[in-house]
Amino acid sequence: MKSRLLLVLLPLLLLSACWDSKDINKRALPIALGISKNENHNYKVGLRIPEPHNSSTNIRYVQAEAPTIGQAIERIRMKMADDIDLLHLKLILISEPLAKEGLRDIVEYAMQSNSIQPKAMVAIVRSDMSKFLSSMDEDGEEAGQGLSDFFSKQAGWTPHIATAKIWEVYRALYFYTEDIAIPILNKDEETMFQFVGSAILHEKKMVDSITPDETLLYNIFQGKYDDAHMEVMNHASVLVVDANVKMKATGIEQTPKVSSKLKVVVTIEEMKEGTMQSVIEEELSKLLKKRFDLLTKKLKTNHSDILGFGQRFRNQMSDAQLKAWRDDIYPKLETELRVEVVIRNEGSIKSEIGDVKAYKLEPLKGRK
Amino acid sequence: MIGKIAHYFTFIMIHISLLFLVYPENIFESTSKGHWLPILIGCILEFLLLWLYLRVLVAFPKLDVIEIINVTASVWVSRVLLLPIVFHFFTCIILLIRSHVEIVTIVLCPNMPIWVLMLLIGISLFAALSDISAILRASCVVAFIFIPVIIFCFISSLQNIELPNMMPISPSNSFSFLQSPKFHSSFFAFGGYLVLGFIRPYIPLEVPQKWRYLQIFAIVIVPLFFISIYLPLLVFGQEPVSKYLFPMIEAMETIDLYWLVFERVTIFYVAVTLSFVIMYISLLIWVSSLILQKLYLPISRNKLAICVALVCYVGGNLIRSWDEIEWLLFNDTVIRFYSIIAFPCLLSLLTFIHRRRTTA
Repeated sequence: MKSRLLLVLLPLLLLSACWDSKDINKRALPIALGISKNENHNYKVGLRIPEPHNSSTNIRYVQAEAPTIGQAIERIRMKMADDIDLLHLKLILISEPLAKEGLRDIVEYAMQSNSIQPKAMVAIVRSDMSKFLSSMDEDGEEAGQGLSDFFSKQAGWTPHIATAKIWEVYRALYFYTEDIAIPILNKDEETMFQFVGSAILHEKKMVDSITPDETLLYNIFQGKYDDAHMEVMNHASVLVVDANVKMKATGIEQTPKVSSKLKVVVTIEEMKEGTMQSVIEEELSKLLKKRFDLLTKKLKTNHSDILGFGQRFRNQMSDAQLKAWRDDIYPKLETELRVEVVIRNEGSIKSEIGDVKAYKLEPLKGRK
Repeated sequence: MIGKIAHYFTFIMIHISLLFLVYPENIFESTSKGHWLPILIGCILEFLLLWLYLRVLVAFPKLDVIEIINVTASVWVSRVLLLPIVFHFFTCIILLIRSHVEIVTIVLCPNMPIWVLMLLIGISLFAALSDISAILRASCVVAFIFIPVIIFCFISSLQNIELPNMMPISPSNSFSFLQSPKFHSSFFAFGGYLVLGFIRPYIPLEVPQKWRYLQIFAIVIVPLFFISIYLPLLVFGQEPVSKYLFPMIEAMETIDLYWLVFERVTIFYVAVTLSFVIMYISLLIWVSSLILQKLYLPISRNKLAICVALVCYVGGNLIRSWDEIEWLLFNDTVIRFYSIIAFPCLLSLLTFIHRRRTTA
């Protein structure tokens, strides 16, 4: 009898739904959060909220200003009839002037508050934030997911685009031996936006930016190279289908040095008549080396170790050296790059006679 | 079949529910490099104590720890020796349920009142009111369902690891972590084996099972201790990871699987650890009510179990903040060291004296 009574009472406890459930149609699910600062040094926080209607998706843009980010979001809440649920936020956008002022507050807020997922993407916006966030193209196709698809490997990402998640940025802010590059976006006439380069940080501030080509090198060094990209040179255009790097670090006590070996696998897309493979290899390795030298020079002057050289020294450094890595040791670092080009094939058309001769002269060239 | 292996799963489950809670944070706080050394010290210590404890248990067939002390010394000795153990179990229940409630509010439902979530202890009580074999069977089922899930969580978090993060691998020369209070707190994760001595009459425990336990500890549980430290460390690196309150949960938050229907793997992870904790708490309630009944209050065990759950429920509700959880964890250190380290030693001392007296 007793247990039957219990059984009758049990559903009361189990079927009463969640404690604080809010229906899905009463929730606003912003896809992007934009943060900038106004003239009074208050944070200006804007939310881009897709609102599905029958067949299309409308964009709603709401913003508020307050001395802290949390407070600004609270003020947005006060203006909205729906409950704001930041859990499905995909992208946090930071205006460039604010990024130059410092990223700490924003990243710390996003990590500390449990309402935002640490795997949301971070990007820096060069154009005006409110225009950027409220914009949408004519047919509204990019209104909803478009923003996050841009950084998704399963959608529109290319190897030139840097990606940074909140937890990765947070990690870079406090980690001694590795930094991160944050993508910079600009508004575009035709599509919603355009990738213009990546920001590099020092002391929790954006200090400089690197070009998309340099970002490509960064992605290769980070092991994030995927997909394929095109390199155009004087004599040929090649499609780089694979790229990876091996690094060797030596001499932390006297002259720290990292020798890197970059192996690129290419297929030839087009070439001028009578071009030999060796010319293409030489041109490509020269191009990459030049890019690498310019990039490392810029990074060293800015104390930003996005290529992860410090990681290679981690086992050799003492506690004090770890702390001093970015500011004292890294600028003195010698870097060297060797490029190995493997031409996998030449597309659907056979190579010309000139090339066959080259093969005969140097059999198995490029293999060591 | 289940009766023969269920207790091994219970043993593994107990450790999983203990070691992913505060253990990673404690270790990251107590040392900044060579994390394997503190882990190894803890593991070797528990291995030795487990061996000592099981040796005593195997020497007295079919008797639980209470009866062993009763036989070797007297009822009063066991009353004195086991009182701190009961306290230890109480604080264990309170700490486990309260901190997991806190995790649930952090990860899942931030607006849910604590007292409602604390009612989860009711599930444990429900299990504790039934027979011990029911708890063992239930924990076996829970383990079968959830251990694959937790393995999936671990494997999918490998997508973000960077091997150089675990450097420098050489430990600090000074052994300074031995004095760190956080390192002492970390022994919270090593106390899981005590329960075995009390459920002993209900599980097969002879010499072969003793070795099987030691094997399971070395092959399954020691790697789990290493995973709990090295997984977050490889994802974040020492300097950032020491800033997290729950490094393991943060590591789960970084998992990004586009093909998975569910967006957050963290929810699975929290659900799994919570279910393990609920099973372990039911075991703890059962054991504490058994000790209370046999030594202090000879009334029905079910009534005592309800009392234990009520006291822990109220005690858990009295804790207002995470700081107070840490305060309790820190202040429990003396009782914890007595229960985990001194008690098995005392027990084997008693049996040693007893054997000498009987043979002489």
